[in-house]
Amino acid sequence: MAGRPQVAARQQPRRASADGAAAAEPAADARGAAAVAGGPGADGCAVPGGVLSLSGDAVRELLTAVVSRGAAFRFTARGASMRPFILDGDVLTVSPVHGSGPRVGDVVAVTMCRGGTSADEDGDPETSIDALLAADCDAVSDEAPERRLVVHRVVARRGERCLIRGDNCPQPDGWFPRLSIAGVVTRVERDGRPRKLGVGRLGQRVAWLSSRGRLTTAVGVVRAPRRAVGATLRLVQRLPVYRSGARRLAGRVVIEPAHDDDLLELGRRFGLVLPDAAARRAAGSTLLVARHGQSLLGFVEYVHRAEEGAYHGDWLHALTVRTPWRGMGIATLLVAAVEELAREHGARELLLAVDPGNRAALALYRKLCFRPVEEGALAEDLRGLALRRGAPLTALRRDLPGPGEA
Amino acid sequence: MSTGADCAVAYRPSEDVVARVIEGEIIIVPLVAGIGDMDDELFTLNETGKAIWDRLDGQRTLADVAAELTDEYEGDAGAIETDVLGLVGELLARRMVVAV
Repeated sequence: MAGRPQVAARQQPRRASADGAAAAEPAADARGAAAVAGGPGADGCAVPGGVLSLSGDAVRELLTAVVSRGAAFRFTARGASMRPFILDGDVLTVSPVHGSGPRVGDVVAVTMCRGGTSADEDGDPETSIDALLAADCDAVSDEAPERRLVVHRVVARRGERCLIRGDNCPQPDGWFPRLSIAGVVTRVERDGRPRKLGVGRLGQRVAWLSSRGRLTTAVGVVRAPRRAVGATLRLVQRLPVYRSGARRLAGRVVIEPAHDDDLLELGRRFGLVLPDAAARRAAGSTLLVARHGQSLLGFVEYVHRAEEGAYHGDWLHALTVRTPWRGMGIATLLVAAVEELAREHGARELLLAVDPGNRAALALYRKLCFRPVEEGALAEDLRGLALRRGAPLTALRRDLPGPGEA
Repeated sequence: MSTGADCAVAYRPSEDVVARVIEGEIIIVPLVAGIGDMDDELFTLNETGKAIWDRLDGQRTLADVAAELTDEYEGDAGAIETDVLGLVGELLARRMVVAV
């Protein structure tokens, strides 16, 4: 045989900047690095690490493969065509398209040919993506078609066809069959923190403005008062008189497991990464939502990690309450529901990890008797994670009373 | 890396990975908590590793795989079997394959 078989852990390179669409595009000069770093046939059994530079086409293929398995795909976007909502270097999570989506305003990952598109608005809506791309590429060039993954917004929809356009682009990309859309962007992270993506009602307005080329101006005008309102609302929510009145309303809030219909809403409203129900069950995860009438006010995830290791145990994840509904005790209700689930699994403690800069969350957890985990494998692992990813997390734990205990 | 692979057992790729041949190279993306993360580590196999991976179909035992590779590469049967066990043991430790 040519050499000892090897499996090598590799990482993609970080690139400082790039032009063009917000897409998973490689640095053209970096392809050689892959061959140098991980060429086949090397002798010896040491596992070589190194840089793995994937082409845009490779990332497209991997995204399609991962999303078709019902999983989400996380990668770094390049370019400026989705400014101001997505900037070069932002980390995007693309999730499968649920139901009849995507909707107007959604940001989607779609495959198109370099040099433009061009599906005719009146084209056959049943056309497969491969046939469409082949036809488009033939029209653009006689050379081998270069497909690329582009992350842009749906700005209009007619039946099974979607008009796609970058928020910062002068022209639309064209009409694409719904089935050609690989997935919907459900989360944007910048510097390790989630950012607003501009979806839901906001996305519809963005799509309307985008289709008229007035988005950038509108964003500047919209941002100032929204910031002021948010800050004022948070101040008001701290007032005892507000909190006592609001808690009466919280009595009508229902905490229950998320329905399938909730997934699209949760993904769109909260940027939540949503593996399908089977994947969540396999991972020991239960998603709970807080509901008032038809409105989703917040959610939390309970995860029972059965495998041995630093993260073994019962976890509370992603506790989130929408801003207008804070200060009403909804977060406390969600935590109580997770504790109940954990007790049903026989757990004697509940764990969570929180950003130490999130003062509001820390105050809530302290009030609910959670205490820091400062020693042991979990604390060590989180410290290592913080060093590797630059995103510090503090683990907290709380004892749970057993059956019959107070 | 521990080697817990068994010659008499057949293995197949785990449901927790997505593997694709891209530009002649096998790229393996682990799915962690339902997410394939390109910003985390990806894995590749060299040419020899790829020849083994392609035969991990849940039907052929590792002994079958080693025998096929011995015929194809005309190598030393014992050394090839050791290589196969070593690689599959490593893949098992990384939860990239499962026994059938």
